[in-house]
Amino acid sequence: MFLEANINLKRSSGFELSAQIEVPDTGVTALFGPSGSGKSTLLRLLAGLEQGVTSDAITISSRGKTWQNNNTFVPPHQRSLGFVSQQPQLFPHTTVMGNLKLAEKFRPSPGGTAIADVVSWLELEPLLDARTQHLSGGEAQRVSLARALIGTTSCLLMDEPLASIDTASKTSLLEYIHRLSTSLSIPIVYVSHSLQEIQFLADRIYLLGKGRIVSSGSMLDLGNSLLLNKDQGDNAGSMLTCETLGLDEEYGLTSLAIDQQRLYVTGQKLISNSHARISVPARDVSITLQRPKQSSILNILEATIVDIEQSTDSPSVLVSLKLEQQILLARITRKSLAQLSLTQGQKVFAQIKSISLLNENLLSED
Amino acid sequence: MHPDLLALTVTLRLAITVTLVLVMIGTPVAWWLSQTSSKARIIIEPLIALPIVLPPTVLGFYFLVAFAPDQIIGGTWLKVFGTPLAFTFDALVIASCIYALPFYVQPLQLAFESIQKGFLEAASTLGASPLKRFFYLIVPLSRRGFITAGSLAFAHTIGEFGIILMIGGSIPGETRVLSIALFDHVESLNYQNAHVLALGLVVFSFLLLLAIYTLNRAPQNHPEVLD
Repeated sequence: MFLEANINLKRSSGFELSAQIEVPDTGVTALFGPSGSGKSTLLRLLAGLEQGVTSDAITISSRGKTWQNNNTFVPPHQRSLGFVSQQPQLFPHTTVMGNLKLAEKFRPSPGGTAIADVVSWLELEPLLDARTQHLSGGEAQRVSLARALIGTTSCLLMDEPLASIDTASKTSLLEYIHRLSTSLSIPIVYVSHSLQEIQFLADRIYLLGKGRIVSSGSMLDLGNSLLLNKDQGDNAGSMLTCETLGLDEEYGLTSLAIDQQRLYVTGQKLISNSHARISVPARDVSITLQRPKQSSILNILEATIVDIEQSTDSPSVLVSLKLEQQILLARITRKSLAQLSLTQGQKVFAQIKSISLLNENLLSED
Repeated sequence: MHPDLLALTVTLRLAITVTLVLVMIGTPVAWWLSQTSSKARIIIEPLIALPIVLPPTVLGFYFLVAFAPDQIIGGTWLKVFGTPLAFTFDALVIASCIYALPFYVQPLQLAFESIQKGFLEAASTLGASPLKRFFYLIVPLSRRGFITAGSLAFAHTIGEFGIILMIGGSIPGETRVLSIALFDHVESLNYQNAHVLALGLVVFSFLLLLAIYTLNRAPQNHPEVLD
């Protein structure tokens, strides 16, 4: 275990945070929840940027070393963590390279990541001489990530790093973070209120609400759960892992296999016999009782209803469908639910109208 | 040495010493004031600002009393250094430091307060100790504050008159500064020498201010510290 924390904190404003979390040595641990749920406060406590007051009961330890308890407080600069916040916070009096050099100067002992390495991983070469004010939001955040990596080889804490940048840069930065999380094998704690980011990156999830941990578990168990998706509106959806089978040249389609069933996505050149992540919005999944024979929809999966989330104040419901292992979510109307008289345990067919493929890095070179 | 040249060297020596002392004492005070949430700030801030509103002669009068050998400050000085404090260059330095303190602390405090907290947090998570944060981040980010604070303290010490008149006497080479020398010339109706000194001070002050404004207008790449 890289980090263990047990936090009971009470602010004079009335805000309370009560959480116990563990961060393993590898993979992405996500703290997910709506704003005000306490996830950022929790992260800042782990970093030592907040301390609480004497009446709070906070214990944080990392690999057996106490960072905080009633008598001890290790300040942030002695925790050798990397921290990326929502705003890039690049030092404004110098260039991109100047920022990286300062990070090198600040790190307490040699042994962090070399500047040359982060520059090549995050493709910063063309930006090195730029003043920080001239960078776009996405570029600045990339530099901020690089700077954090120079300072640490132990752990990366990220507080809504994509929240204030444009959509196009978001996707590419998400790819960078994903690549780093798999290649660096250092633990990442990732705070976000965006379900897509969490589903894409996380290996483990802590779901927070109103200063408490509502649920926690692995991505496979919790990632596509109704619990995580129920308040997400149009963002509700599932993230699934598929095998890539190859390109169908005649129709320009790539075939994928998900839990032994076949799926097609358009025109992607993927490395065969590898894995890819796909995202399927719940609103683009419909349910039929029999396999439709005359439909233009290509992707039809056999599934079993495992759960139905109903709320009487909404005209639609979320249905949780189990393939063999993975969960697919469908949003249908309450009326359809009644007409088809769908119940738990029932075998149905899910028709999928749209799929987006997420791992760009799986695209083959040719 | 010509007595007026001697007065000039005393004046410059005083202004430089006071500025250096204030960099060492005033900088931590300004930093503390810019960061603290302590209630003591309510008392300390106006206390530091007092010399701005008080007539210098009032301050000078109290210094005159305090520096006397039978008082705590003057007495302690006598015990420690074996010489009386009153009517010495050291007395001028102490009095001038207190007089110029608000002119140094206030612009610097303002500059410190305008530094975004996020920069300092980023630096600390990168492993920067408080000292490294100060020298590599806070100092360059508040460069303008330092220039303004230092030059105001310097200029105010050069232009000081009331306090020095009260506590300095007019000992050549020790406490006779330019403003006192000018006063002496006028009193003895020696207008020609008075003109030389007065014009010299005007030109010098103008050049100093010109230099400060030019430095402060030089392109800066941290708009965050502009207000």
